[in-house]
Amino acid sequence: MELALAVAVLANFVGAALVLAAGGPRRLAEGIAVASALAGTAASIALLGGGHERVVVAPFVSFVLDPLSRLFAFLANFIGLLTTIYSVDYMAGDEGYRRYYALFLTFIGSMTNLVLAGDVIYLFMHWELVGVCSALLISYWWERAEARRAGIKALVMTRASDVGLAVLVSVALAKGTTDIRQLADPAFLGPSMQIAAIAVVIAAMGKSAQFPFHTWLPDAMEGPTPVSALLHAATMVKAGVYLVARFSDVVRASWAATTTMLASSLIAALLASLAGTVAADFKRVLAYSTVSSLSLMLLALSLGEYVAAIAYLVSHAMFKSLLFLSAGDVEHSAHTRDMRTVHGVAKRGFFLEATAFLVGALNAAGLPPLLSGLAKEEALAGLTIAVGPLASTAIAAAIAFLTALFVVRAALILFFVGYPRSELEPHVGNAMKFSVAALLAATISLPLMAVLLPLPGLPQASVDPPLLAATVAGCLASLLLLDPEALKGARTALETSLGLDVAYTFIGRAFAEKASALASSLHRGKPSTLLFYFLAFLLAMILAVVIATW
Amino acid sequence: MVSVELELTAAAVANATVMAVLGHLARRGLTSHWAIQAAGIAFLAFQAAVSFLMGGMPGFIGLVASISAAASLAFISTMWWGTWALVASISATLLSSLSQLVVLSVGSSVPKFLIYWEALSLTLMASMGVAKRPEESEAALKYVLVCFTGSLIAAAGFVIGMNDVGSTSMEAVLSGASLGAKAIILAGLSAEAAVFPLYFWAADAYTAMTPVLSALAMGGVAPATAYVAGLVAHSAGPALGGLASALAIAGSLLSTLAAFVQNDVRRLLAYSSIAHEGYMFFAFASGLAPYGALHALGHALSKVPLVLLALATAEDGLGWRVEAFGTGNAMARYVAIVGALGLMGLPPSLTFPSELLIFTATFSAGGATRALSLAFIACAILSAGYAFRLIFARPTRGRVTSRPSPRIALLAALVTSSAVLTPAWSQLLASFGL
Repeated sequence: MELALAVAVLANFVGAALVLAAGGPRRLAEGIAVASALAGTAASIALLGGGHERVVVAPFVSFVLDPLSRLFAFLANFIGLLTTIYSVDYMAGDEGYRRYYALFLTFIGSMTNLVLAGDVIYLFMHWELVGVCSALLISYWWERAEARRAGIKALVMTRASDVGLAVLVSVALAKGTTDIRQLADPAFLGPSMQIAAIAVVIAAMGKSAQFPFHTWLPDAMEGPTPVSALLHAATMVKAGVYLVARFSDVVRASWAATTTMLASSLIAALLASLAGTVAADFKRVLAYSTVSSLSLMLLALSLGEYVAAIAYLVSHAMFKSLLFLSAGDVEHSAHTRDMRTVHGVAKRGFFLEATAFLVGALNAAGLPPLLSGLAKEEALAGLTIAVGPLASTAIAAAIAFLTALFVVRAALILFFVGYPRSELEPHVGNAMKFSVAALLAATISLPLMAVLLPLPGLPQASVDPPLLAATVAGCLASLLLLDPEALKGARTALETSLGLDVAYTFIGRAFAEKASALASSLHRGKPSTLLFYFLAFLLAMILAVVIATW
Repeated sequence: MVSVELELTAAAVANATVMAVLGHLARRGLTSHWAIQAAGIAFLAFQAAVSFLMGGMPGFIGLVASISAAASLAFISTMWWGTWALVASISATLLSSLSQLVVLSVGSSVPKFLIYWEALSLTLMASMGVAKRPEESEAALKYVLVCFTGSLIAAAGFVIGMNDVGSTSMEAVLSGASLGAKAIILAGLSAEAAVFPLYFWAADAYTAMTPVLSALAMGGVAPATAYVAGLVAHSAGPALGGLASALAIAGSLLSTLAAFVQNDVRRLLAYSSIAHEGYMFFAFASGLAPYGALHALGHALSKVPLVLLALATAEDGLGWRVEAFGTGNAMARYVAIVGALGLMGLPPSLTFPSELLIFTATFSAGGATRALSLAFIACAILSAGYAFRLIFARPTRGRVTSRPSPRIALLAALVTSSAVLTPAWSQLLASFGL
């Protein structure tokens, strides 16, 4: 077990260092990257079996091994391996491959350490490190202004919410322990439980792109598609879900925290679904779908539907990365993500991608008896207790309808509607095809995987008629919106979350331009004027002291 | 402690003398500049060894200063050698030793402290004239007007304080002097520590100084002055200490914002240093000396490589523009990226645990200190506005692709050492008894 843990924790970091330091041809770097990811995956599989253990390595460096951490470590490494393999062909023409693979492997290693961390400071270190890797990978093509802006935006927004996790560390140090297992016990926290619960929720809201921190995720699609698949669909954005799951007892014990999370996730689901319906960029559509899915997971956790949340999470990791990679094949060949210019591509030989995307879309729509569908139904069933039966049905139906609508719409437009450009041909390497095929197999065999993986349980196999009807209606309604230009009048409003993103941009610019210009101007002055300021300052201080001691 | 002070002082004076003599011999062709550099490095190694043995805050600050100075010396040795290089080398060793002596002397007498403080001040001012450029003279003038005046005012405060307690012991003055005396001392020392609103001299000084010395000033000298001023603030009680902390955070915020709009990378890094010195002062004034010291080391391991990288970029013909920073080769890019992460308090840099610990401790304190802790973390988040400009640098015209040189490898080793030390931050502090 110790060996498997050591390899899981270190393999990708070692790989990243080797990629940077070792010279040699490109193939060597790619080989190191794949080998490291493979080693990490093998180690995470070896860790799957087992109960609850704690391993202390050094002060403030410890690991906790339980079903939750083992499951997340496996997901991070498994999806990481497939996306690394995919990258071999996707990034084939790019010169900065060493930087790419180094960041990619560092991310996988950090994510693994994050979910295995038994110490809250160690967890926070890797929490921030995954954010760093995310920002640098989003802005990988930093010669483009949009990529630079998206990277900075992601980092600033997630760091703002990371204050929550810093507050949790503060609570931990005040309680005299940084052991996560103790901190996850409401009885141990005592009066600090409320602030700890709210801190966890705030931290989760940023990393998992929930309202009001949700606007960074669609912009993050500026990064390479394997990055979008691994970080911004399958793993990093689930760090928030992991944190809430890890501290679920504490969060559930706080009415303020659960209500905040409930409200945040519902608002995010609604805004994301509306935006996804009008988006023309198919990666942004998938990003909105991710926001909506994360909302569902956090909603489930806020309602105490732990089993449903984790089951949906596993399903989502597979089908969402499948959606991204199959869309990535199209993007790689067509050099655009705009559905107004690239559509109906199944007619041009993208058969594997069409099949994969359709399977992914149906999972995203959440049709029972797919695992995602059962999990979704169980998660939304818990709304009844929170908001009452009538409101619960209305909200659940709206979420189900909109989610199914926009994802299935994207699948139909991208692959089946209209005719593609005559010059479009698939330029998809074997590595890309392999990854898509492997994820397709994993997604199809989810029920089997669900039995093999250390899930806390499986959703009950029940079907809620209104919910099912809403989901089917959403799928069918997509047939009415097959024109990529449909609803374009509402595109700006909905994609900016009704102006919220515009407000964020305005605030960011105000700081970057006006406040900084003012601050800069305060530093200029002649020495005599400065001396005057100094003497005036001294006089003011002395007066303040005299008054204070009067 | 007294004997360590004397030893270090004697060693510093002897080293400076030896370097000056070797410089004279080198001009006559009787030796090479490598001998001068070797003497300097040997002294810094001695200082680092003494620092480890000494432990405590003086030891930690001494280690930070000696590492910063060693990097500067190593860089000087790769540059064109002239009188300026000899003066810069001697200044580097003196600044390093005086930074540590100032901190050491806090445990002895007021006159001794003031002697070391003024010696540090004079050496810093002399460092602003190494390359004999007009902007250096202006910066020095500003420095004299603000910091020498501040030193005189601090001396007056110390006189009042010694009169209050009837002793010349620093410890007695800091613990027993009247609030008025401490306020005057704090006002005087805050000038050197670049606390708002007395920080006007710092940006010009750091920008105008020859980069090999500004790196040391930002990385090695600033922590020493921040520590001493912060110690006085902490001893002055919660009201005055809180006021001083608020001013420090205000200065950090203004400096962070000012860095956004700088096009000269030296000035951008200068404002960044003022901001980080504010963080250190905040930690020291809040009674969190170990965390402030940790931040000093983390900051030095990021800032010194960045400043020296700016120098290397300029020598590659790419100038001092932020857009061209560190774009010479892949290793330079690595230094730029990892160093910039350190300026933001992000892992893998050592500034991550230091800023986290400063925040958590001040947040826990409650009251006004909690508000300051939130302002502190806001500064750290805002620093992305300028740090990412270093990461995204790429020259718009003319690109020099050079092979990584040994000196860039040295800078890469420094930033990497910060990453290696990060998981072991608690053992690092424990090894110095902090």
